[in-house]
Amino acid sequence: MSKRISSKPTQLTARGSSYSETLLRLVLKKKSFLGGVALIAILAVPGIFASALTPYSPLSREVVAADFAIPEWAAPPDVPRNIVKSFNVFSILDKKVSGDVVIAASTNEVTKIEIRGEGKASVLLMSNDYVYYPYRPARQAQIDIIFNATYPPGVGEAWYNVEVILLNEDLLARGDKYVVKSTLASGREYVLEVPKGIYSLYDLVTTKVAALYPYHRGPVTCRTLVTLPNLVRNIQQKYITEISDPWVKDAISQEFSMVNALRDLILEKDTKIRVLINITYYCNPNDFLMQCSKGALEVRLDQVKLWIKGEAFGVLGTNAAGNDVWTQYLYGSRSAIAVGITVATLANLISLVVGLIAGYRADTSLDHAITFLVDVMNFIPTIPLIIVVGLTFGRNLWTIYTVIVLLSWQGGARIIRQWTMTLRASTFVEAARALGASEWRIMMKHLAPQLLPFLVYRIVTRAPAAVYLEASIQLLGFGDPEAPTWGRMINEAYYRGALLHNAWWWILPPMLGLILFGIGFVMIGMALDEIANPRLKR
Amino acid sequence: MGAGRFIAKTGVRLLATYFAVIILYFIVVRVLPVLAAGGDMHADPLLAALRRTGEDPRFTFWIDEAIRTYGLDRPLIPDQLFRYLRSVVMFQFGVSVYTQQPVLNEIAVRLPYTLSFYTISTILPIVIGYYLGIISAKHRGKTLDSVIVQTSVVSRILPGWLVLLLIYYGLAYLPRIYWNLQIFPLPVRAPEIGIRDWEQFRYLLWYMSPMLLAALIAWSGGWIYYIRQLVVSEMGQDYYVTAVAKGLDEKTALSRHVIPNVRPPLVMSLAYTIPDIFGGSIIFEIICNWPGIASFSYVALQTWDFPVMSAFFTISALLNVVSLFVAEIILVLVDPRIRTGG
Repeated sequence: MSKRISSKPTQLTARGSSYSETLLRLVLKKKSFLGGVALIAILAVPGIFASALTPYSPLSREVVAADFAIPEWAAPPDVPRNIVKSFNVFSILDKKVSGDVVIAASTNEVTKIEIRGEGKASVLLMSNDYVYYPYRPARQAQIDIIFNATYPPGVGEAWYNVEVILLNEDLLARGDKYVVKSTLASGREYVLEVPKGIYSLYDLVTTKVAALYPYHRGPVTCRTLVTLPNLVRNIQQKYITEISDPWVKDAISQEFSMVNALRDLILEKDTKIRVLINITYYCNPNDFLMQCSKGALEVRLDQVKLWIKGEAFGVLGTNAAGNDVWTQYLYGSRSAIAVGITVATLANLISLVVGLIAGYRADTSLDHAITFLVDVMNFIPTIPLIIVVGLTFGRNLWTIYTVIVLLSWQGGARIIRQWTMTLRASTFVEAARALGASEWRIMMKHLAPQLLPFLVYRIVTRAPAAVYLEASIQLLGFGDPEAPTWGRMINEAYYRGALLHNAWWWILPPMLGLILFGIGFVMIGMALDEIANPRLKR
Repeated sequence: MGAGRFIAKTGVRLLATYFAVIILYFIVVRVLPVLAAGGDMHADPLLAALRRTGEDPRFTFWIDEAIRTYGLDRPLIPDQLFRYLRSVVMFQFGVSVYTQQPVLNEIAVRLPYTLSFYTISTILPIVIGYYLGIISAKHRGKTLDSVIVQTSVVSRILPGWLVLLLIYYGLAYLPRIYWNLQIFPLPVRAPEIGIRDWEQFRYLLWYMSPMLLAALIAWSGGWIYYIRQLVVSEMGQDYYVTAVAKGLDEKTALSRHVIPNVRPPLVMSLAYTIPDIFGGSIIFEIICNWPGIASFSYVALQTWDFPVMSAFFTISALLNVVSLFVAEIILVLVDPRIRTGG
């Protein structure tokens, strides 16, 4: 602000550099200002350090635990936690050989089984390691199986099968049975007793589209991920496929496919869980259909990794897809603060310029045009327009924010126009005009600084509105599907059953975050209000 | 300027605004997508939507005919624009691409639902705000005032849908999960369109209750705060101080001198917040599956059903214009400066 203006007799009494200092001192005295700043800091600081506070990325949608896992601190001790175990070392539990088959096994570091010769053989391997399971039965698990079956050079291709079995030896030893009951259409009741503690996870032959024979031929590099509960694997179990009556089989499979095998058949508190590998081998030169001569086979077990998905996880649990909620919350707070302030600042800068021009040139055709434009903007239903533009230009965060900026300046422009109209008549403007200052200079150098407190007040009070608008667009499902915002979290939580599952850790943090965010800015706004708007002082 | 001239001038201005909004809407929905695709008429989402419907052999002939009758193969400006403006003026929006029913019929059965919620959720917060605001101003500086002000400030910033979700969670889902109690309805089974008996009407009211409660909580605060500030600032004016100093009791001074001065800005700010309330109730309708025109046009937006979209935009713009016009007329009635032409 230049010297010659400093003598102006206006209500805001600007006195050079001390003016802003006085304002600052005034503001700092206000309790609500400090409270608001503290509130926003509580929300913003974790967001700023988001990448240090969480190892996950908000966009990768990494599955970190079972779906709807509750926060770890809120969970009783018997709620399952994540258990990850890699079974590397296996030892031979049992082998059956017929004909002149030779089995060679090397079980240090990587388990390698070599079978050679003509005849039949079956090898049962059991993992040396086990998982001691201390919680109540978990709902979900995932097993990563990697193995390699190859034929050594210069031998015939033998027929074989590889099966991976999950074993709970304590349960199996107890001999408990899980009873599956099904009533046929004829009214006859059929009961199947399923042994507990053993469940076939993977069977090479059944993964084939059409399995004519109970064996497979050809080299296999298997990298498979079995998830439990698994409807398809359930009805591929031996005790189901061996039922001869098709009607009974159908009825029982329907009943059994609904059973959560992991929870009901495998897991039990304080038991040990192991993995079994069953390799069967068949090479018979006299078999017309399954031809093989001088066969051999080499199976290398690279990895069997069991992950029992925890139902209690991290700071804020997981959502319906098993993603970490804490990560989404942190990145959401970051984007809310950044976007709220940026969008509100840009929109208010537009309203400052437009309002100044319209107010300074009041009652000219330019002013009429701007007033008309403001009226038109006021009538446009914001949300449908953002949706339409989003559908046209892609549901991109930047598009949405641009439209929000372009649609939210009109209210401020109207108020600034009014203020400018009253300020225009002041003596300091007249003085500047008399000194030959250009219109633009008067507006930007003399009028705009006068409106600065109001502008700051308006930015602060409008910042939550921009965030709420974006969140509501997200809630309607038209937001950026890849944006890490609180709005998307609320949308997913509301439409994917957070309320039904009482997943408070998922739906409440973004909502409370939004509410506290708004309250924080309003508290700052109230402190500024009394300075920017002295008329309202009590 | 006399009252009649003022009203006429306002009417012309609002009518012009209305048409500007309508044309702007046409540009956004019809011209922008084509421009964004580099002027390629085949990128028109409306034609794409029609062609999708036309893939069904039952509709192929009908769609071809519709494209010809509505001139969708003509240039957008000016042919289609004029056709569109005519349809807006005549209120003939044609047939929905999605439901194959006349748009006006579809809108007409849904409009009562939108209007009932919209009017109640507009009027009730103002009534509450008016009385609580004046009470708060009367007790300014006391505990009651600060409680009311602080609550209303919090309520003012909360978006309605956030309150609605909290109500659904706290009062509909939680009691059901913990005590198997159904206080408020879950937003699952929306009321049917067309009420035939008392039972359905009761269900409708019950279904609407969380929406209304949320609207009350979220939208009263703004009015309470605004009216309190208006009244308090008027009470600081010289005329009020003089009136009280003359020995007039506070109650009379308030009702005779302050409140008439508070009304005009109140009516004006009501008129200007009406589009906001309309936008807010759109989200309400979509979240709750409320069978109003907003959730209907939400489906239309997803399928780019232009006839329904244009009907929705036209009607919402018209509602806004009419409410602003009514507000201006009320302003003439309550503001003595305009009424007497002073």
